[in-house]
Amino acid sequence: MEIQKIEIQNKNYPKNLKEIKNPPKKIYTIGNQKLLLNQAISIIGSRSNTEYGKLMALNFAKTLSKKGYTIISGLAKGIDTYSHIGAMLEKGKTIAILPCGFNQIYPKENQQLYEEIITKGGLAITEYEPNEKAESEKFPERNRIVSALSKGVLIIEGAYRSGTKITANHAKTYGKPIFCIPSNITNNKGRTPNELIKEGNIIVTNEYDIINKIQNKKSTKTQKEKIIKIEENIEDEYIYKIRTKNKTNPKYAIYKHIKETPIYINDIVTKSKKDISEVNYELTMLILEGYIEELEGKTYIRKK
Amino acid sequence: MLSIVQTISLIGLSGKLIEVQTDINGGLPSFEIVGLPDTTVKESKERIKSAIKNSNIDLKSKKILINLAPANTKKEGSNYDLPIAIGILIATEIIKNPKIENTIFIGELALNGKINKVKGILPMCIEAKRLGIKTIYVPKENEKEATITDQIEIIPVQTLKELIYHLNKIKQIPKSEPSKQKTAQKPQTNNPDFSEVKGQENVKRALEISAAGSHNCILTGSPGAGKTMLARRLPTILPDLTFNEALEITKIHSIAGILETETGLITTRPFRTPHHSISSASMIGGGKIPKPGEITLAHYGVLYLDELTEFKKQTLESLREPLEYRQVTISRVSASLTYPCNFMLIASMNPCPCGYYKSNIKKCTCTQKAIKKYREKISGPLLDRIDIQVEVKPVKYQKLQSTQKIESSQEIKKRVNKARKIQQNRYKNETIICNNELTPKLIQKYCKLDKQGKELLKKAFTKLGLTARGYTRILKVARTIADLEEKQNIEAKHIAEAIQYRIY
Repeated sequence: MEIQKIEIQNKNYPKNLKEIKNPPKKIYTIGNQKLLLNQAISIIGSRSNTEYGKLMALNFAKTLSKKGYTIISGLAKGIDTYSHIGAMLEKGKTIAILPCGFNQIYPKENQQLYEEIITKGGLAITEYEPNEKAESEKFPERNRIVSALSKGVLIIEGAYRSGTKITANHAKTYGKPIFCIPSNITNNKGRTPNELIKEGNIIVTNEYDIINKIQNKKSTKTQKEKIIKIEENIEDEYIYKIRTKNKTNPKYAIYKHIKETPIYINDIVTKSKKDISEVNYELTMLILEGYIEELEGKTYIRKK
Repeated sequence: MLSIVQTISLIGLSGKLIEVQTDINGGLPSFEIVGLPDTTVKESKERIKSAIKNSNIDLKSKKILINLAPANTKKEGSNYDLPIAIGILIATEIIKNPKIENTIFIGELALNGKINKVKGILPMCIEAKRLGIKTIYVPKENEKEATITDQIEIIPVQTLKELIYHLNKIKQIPKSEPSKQKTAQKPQTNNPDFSEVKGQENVKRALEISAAGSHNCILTGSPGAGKTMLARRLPTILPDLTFNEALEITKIHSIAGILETETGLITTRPFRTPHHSISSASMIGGGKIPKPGEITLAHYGVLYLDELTEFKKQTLESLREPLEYRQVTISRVSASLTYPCNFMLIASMNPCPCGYYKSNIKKCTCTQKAIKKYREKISGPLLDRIDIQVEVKPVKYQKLQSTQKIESSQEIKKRVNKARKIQQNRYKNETIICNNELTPKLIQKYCKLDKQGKELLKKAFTKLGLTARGYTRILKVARTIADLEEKQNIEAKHIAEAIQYRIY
């Protein structure tokens, strides 16, 4: 696929990006440019998320995609990754805004995800030259584009002082609505969304809270009462496949049963319906390849 | 008149022919036995006198002198009763011109003239054959055991009277048919079976590997997790005995006197479960003339130590050399004997004094110090000799309810047997039998890795922090896993599985 350059004078240059105080003079895109015409919602959050954050990102990205919105995120680890994946699970289109040039994808683990996004009809945007590397000051710059391009920003998790907070501040100055998913108050990663709720931003308990605000509709009673249905076992085969180079890796049959809570070896045997000798072998390989970790008492957890 | 009759005495597992020399003369009536007899042998006088009298033979009052030659070895046991009685009867010419060249007599007398069984018949017969004896008179009750020895005439005797008639050629006692039991087959029994155990896949697999390669194995887990229940089912998957193994086990059990009359050749591998209050002498062997201990009784079988940490430290430490050399030398004042003890150690223990460390059933109430102290009871050198560690956890209720078909012991045993055969063939030119005995030199020879395997091991070394000792143990276990799959070479997946059973 070809890299395309859009100058600020060009008629294809996104309008909502032009409206901000310091718009980039030019942007590079790769992929499906038509996506820029669609209504978009940004989903952002911590790079080191919790299991709850991951589920929220996957579920909201999926349901919002289903409703026809484009999901914008920053291709970082954690919530960003799951937001892109969630969108793609629903065959939704997603836009990744990079803090680097197209030849220097950051973080490296997401190279596979990046390729997946553009080959599946998504779009990647950056304001940097193809060979420019990601640097710390580029992240906040990237964040301003993330909030500028969208109709609203959904914040899932973020620590007290974080990039998430910066993006939220951008959104505030651009007058975009900020949607927050509440977290447990003991969850350190939940501080940013909870603080933002306290400041009067919109608390989100289902996708209609977002859609109605964007479309300026009053929510009906039934919609208010609707509790979001969380898919606990959302297909993370996809995640695994994107993360591993070998797309038909048999180890997934074992890996998918290992989550963030420790699981005992015999429970893996029962769930995967595999032979104990095979499970033993796969577990060692997964440990050595750094996907999982062994804890005391023959229990295993997924490595972050 | 003088008579000379032969019998055999056992020192450990080796036999020595003993001459019973009887001299009967006139003079003041007396009955003396010389030649270092122990109390049992000395007491035989009374049994012999009564037995002869109760066989309707009138023994005139004479001066009787018995010498057990060679006179400098200690004689113990009741098996001298019969040869002494025969010696007296020949010397008094009640038995006339018997054919007793290359013949030995073994047996204990009852007061009524009946001949009782004795310990150690099988090794006696085997040793007698080696020493050139052609005919052996044994107690009828020991017949089955004795007939395991072939190419030798076994004559089973029930009473002294019967034997006198036989030796006087009045009425012949038919000699025993040699036992047809040449292969060690396991009889069908109602043993517990692995098919009754739901879940616990990793433990079953670990025990399967242990059984196949005779690897020492330790089970850890909280109380009630099923450690003992699982270990007790281990005998059902142990590989079949070869004839030589069976013979050796039978010999040992015969000496120890724990062989049942009906058994003949022992066909199942021993499974010894000493209580944790055992002394180190009973564990290793001991006594004035050392007797085999639990480790020797577990030869070619399993020594199961339940609640390993409760055993005395000294007892556990004394297992170190036997585990290494597979034989034990016990030295006492009167004798220094070497017994074989090629056993497989299966141990079970709790993770901490209260038993619930890291358990999800109950909260552990132990302090870190207490846990440390508890684990220190098992010394490093002992743990070094254990190849496989496996954690046992209680099975969840859902699993207990599942109706999924579970592999039976029979099916597991088939694989174990095959793996053991492969090992026997591979090591036929070596002094070892199974993978557990592999020395570093033999590991180099027989545990060749392919490129992937080497890479995997290298990775595991740095990532999991394996030690050099851990390395050899993983190779040994991997060798067994490859054998279970009937693979010539060790592959990466075998190593990967072996790593899961490493000791921490």
